[in-house]
Amino acid sequence: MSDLSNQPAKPNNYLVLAILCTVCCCLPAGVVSIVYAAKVNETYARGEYDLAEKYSSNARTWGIVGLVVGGIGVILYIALIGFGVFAGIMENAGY
Amino acid sequence: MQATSLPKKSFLLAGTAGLLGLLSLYYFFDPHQGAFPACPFYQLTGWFCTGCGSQRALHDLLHLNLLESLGHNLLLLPALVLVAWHGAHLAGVGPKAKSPLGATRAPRYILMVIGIFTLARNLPWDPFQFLAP
Repeated sequence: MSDLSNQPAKPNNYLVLAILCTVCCCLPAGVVSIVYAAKVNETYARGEYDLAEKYSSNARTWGIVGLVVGGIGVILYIALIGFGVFAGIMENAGY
Repeated sequence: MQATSLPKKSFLLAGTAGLLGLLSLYYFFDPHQGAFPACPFYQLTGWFCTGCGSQRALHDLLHLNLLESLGHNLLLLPALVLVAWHGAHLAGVGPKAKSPLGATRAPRYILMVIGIFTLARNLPWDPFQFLAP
């Protein structure tokens, strides 16, 4: 019983974030994040809880990096297109 | 279930709104005609990455063209199903079966699938052409 209470909760491996990143944002950061997710699971299963925590934060960092880079890319692109359309309208309005 | 705090609630709300906005963008604009940015990895290397074709696949999926969606990216639909399953499991709704993503070896298997899929879709021969976006 004491064994069970000494065991810390399993850290999040952010696997869902990593999958979404890999499939949707087409960025290698997602793959790095999945590798760290695997390491979280394996170190936790071996009982190396501190290491699992460290890998967990790495997995989160890489997942967020991929999401932010991909997201910013899409938003920039849409903003540029929107700006181009707007500029075109204004130019035509001048005539 | 405990009550969600206010910041968490507004975060969820903003996330849902953003997701709906994004989905409607992909519903009404057609990535087949270049309405969205092409994959930077493909532009840099000329190789297809794991996510290539997922914008077209999402558009087709939202229009319920399942076969065409799978033809653009075979992994998008299974990935979304797995994520939805996992989300339902975390929220405590849906099927009682354990989410496959919760398994200890899940990340390892996913890496293997992604590796094989990404390699195969770049092969120029016939049976693998279906995997290319």
